[in-house]
Amino acid sequence: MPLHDASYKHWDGVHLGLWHRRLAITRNGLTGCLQNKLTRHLVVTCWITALIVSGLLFIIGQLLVADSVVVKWVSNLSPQLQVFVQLLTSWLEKHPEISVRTTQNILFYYYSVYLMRVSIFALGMAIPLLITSDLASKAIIIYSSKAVSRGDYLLGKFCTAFGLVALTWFGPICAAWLVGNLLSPDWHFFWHSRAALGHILLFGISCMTILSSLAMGISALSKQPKSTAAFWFIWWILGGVLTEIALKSKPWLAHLSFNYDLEQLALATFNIGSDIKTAQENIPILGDMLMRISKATMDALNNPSTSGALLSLVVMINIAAWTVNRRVKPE
Amino acid sequence: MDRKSEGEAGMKTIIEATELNRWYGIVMGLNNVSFKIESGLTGLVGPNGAGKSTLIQIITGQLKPSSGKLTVFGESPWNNPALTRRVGYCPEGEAVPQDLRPLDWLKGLGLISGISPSEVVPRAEAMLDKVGLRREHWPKRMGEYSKGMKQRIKLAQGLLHQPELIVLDEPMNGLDPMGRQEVANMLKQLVHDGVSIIISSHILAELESLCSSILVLNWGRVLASGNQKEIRGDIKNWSEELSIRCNAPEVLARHLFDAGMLQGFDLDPEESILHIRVKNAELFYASWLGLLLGSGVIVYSIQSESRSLRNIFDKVTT
Amino acid sequence: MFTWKSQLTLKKLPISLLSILGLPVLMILTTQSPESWALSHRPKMGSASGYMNGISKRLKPAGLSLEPELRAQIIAIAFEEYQATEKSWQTPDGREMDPAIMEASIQATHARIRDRVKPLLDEKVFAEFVEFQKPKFNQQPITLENGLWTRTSPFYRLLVDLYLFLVLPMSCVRTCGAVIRDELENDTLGFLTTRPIRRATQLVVKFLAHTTWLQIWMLLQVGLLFLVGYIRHIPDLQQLIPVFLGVQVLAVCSWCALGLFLGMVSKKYMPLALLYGGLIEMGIGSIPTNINTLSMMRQMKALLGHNVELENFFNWPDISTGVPVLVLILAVPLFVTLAAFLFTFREYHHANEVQR
Repeated sequence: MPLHDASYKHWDGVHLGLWHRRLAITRNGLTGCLQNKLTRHLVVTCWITALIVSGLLFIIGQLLVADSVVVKWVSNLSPQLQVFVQLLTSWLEKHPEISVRTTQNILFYYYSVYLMRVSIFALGMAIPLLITSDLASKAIIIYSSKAVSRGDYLLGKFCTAFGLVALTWFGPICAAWLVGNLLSPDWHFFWHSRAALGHILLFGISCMTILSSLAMGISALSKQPKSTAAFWFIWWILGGVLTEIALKSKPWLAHLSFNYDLEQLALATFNIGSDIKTAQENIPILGDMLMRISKATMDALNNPSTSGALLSLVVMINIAAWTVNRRVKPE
Repeated sequence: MDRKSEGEAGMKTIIEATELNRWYGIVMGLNNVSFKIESGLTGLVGPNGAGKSTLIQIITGQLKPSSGKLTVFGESPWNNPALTRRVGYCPEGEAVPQDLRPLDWLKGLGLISGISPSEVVPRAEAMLDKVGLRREHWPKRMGEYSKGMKQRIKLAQGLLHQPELIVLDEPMNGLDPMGRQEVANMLKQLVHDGVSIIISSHILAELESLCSSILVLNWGRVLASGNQKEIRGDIKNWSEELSIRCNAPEVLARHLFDAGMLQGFDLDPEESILHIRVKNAELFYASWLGLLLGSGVIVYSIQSESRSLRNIFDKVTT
Repeated sequence: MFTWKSQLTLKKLPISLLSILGLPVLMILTTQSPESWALSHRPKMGSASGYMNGISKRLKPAGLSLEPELRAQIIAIAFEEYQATEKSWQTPDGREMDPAIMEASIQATHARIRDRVKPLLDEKVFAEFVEFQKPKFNQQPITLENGLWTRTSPFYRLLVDLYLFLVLPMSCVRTCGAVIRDELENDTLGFLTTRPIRRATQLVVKFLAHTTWLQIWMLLQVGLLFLVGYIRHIPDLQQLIPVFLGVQVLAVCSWCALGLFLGMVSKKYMPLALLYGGLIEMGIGSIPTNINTLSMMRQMKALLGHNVELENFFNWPDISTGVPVLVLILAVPLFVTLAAFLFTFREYHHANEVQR
């Protein structure tokens, strides 16, 4: 057998581009995050809820079809409910723009806020894996000895957080919109629900960017994985408790909570206050039920503290960026 | 392979293991080992993952055997404060409390070990001096220390309460050559003072000159125990290996071969070295002067290769 | 010594300061002094520009309007009269004025506005103005409605809901849960377990050291909170402080013991603590049966309920003192014994600790 040359040889193959390398950092990061069983369960749960929301949209859509299973099922229920559904169905047929737009906007608002909370929880578990563990194991030195700059590394890590939130939030909600409208009886549903999609995209992308930036900042705070994760969750929980107190005494203090700020952004983006008002004025029976919403709640829905929220979030992001800049250096 | 040396004067059995096993789930850390360790300086030899640290942790009472028995000074070490008073331990790794100063730490450990408050500070200072930690470093917190300094601190805490048995897990890690020499001298002095020492390492050269007896471990099994000479004598097909640098290695090789002494040889003409494997070491050494003179070559140096611990380990583990 | 000396480092100072000052700063920002509360909650006449808008709305259907200069003059008159009336309602001690007096002064205010505006307007416009003003004579003073939220609400909410029921338990469980776990993670446990002292004894001594440290720390923290209460003139603090401090001492001991036990059970002791909090404290604790004795928070509420202010504010159940004190005291030896048992007979290995 001829002998093989086992001595050192320089590799002359094609080098991958910069974006491939950034993607490699992101992919490794995401893989690490998904090693956690709870995170995987959360992701699966979010996609299951997307199916549930799609199902809900399907049922609402089927109310427009006279011989659908849903209408037939309802007709077997109590006479009052039958009347309600008949009224609703006829109203839906007459005012498709309002019914589809309003319903989907409100539904996706609440779904967005729900997924936002799940994403915050998922990010909390992923925070030690973003920058904290690299700081603790001095992996930054290893990264800096490779053909990636500090900016590439940070971009890759940012995309890891962004990717995780996309898996728990953006993906499910977009899928819910798409599948829900695909299962609707009419292609016009896509057109009528464009506002909801626009709000999802606007709120979703901006929020994911904000949350990912904040997560990076927290992750760079310390080398201890428990400390950074604890800081995130404590900020979230204490912020929630403080908001209630602050709103009744010093409302500006509520902006210390990123959860509150993001909820204000959601209210401003989806503008469900006007949708609820439209529903109150137009939808029979259901509109009367919605009238029972208190004035204080309606005021809160109609007048979100958008500028305060934006300012607060901008400050938080700047602090996070400063922290990352100071802490992430090859030693 | 097991040699008893209780007959030797002054040696007593301090550690005895009987069919000792330790599992980590389905992984065997120690696999049915039985041995005795006498007083003196004993080396625990083995590659990474051989089971040295597991054995040490059982000896120091941090782990329980899964089955079998191990006694130190005749008692089981698990949950035995009276026994741990007689044992000192220097673990592997760099871990020391980051936020404490060395004197504070030693003081606390000394008090826990039963040293009186009046004695503990002088004793701690003496230990720090003994291990060679310079006084200018004492005010710093241990998180700021280098690897070598942390190693010295760990040694100091192991010696603080003047134990009868000291167990050292890779004690030379992180020390510079001078530091290693200092520690080696310190250990020899301790043995001379009557303290028994068990020292583990995967760097065989470190233990070669230090240890009188060795315990060879691999894959969780004890492959050999006793002193180096006894182990060599037990190994089948043991051959003495020598390296002779001379002006005409091939001539010397022919001469020794004709004399019927060689089992085999290798020539290194570039270095002018003859590597030989001798059939009968005793016979060879009895007549080697005459053989060398009779060959007519000029011998520059002779070196034994087979008496190294590396050689013993390689023979035992293959 | 190991516990305390390792806490007192310059590196930890910023975090320590932030943690101890954060809550008092929040409290001082959210709790108003009596003067500023009275200022923000004093009754008002309304808005002068709103008054002018009302006049404009009245004139529009009649096809009438006012020049901008005239509008500005009317606004100025209304503003002046409103200010004077509101000032007359301020009492030196901040107490509310007699409603009958306030009603009379409202009527007098509108009468004065009418008299001052009359020369500025023509007959038609003035007639509409008089019609507009009629209902104003019976208006009630406008007050800021906060429902059940009072001046002292932020103080009690932060002190009890946030500090006592959230910050304190989490701090205690985090600190004492880490007694052995931190040593394991840092691979320094071997230095202690190879000393001639029983494992159980080591654990108890470390627990006592950590608990004492926390008692001092929490005392400092609550001291600052009560200082804020004093600055903000929270009433009846002298009655509250002894009860609160007594409950806090018991609470710190109990929560520390629980944390110690959870730390010996699992390396994920904080999620376990949250689970415990959800199931036992909030779940079982709120069920009106005998089993809610298991909830430490419930016992703390029962003890704190002996303070009248807290009882009125939180509307807690009325339970005797004996059982809560007994439960909180007994929790300590129970959890510490269980923890010591685990530490004595179970192995704790660094390799397991660093595995994910």
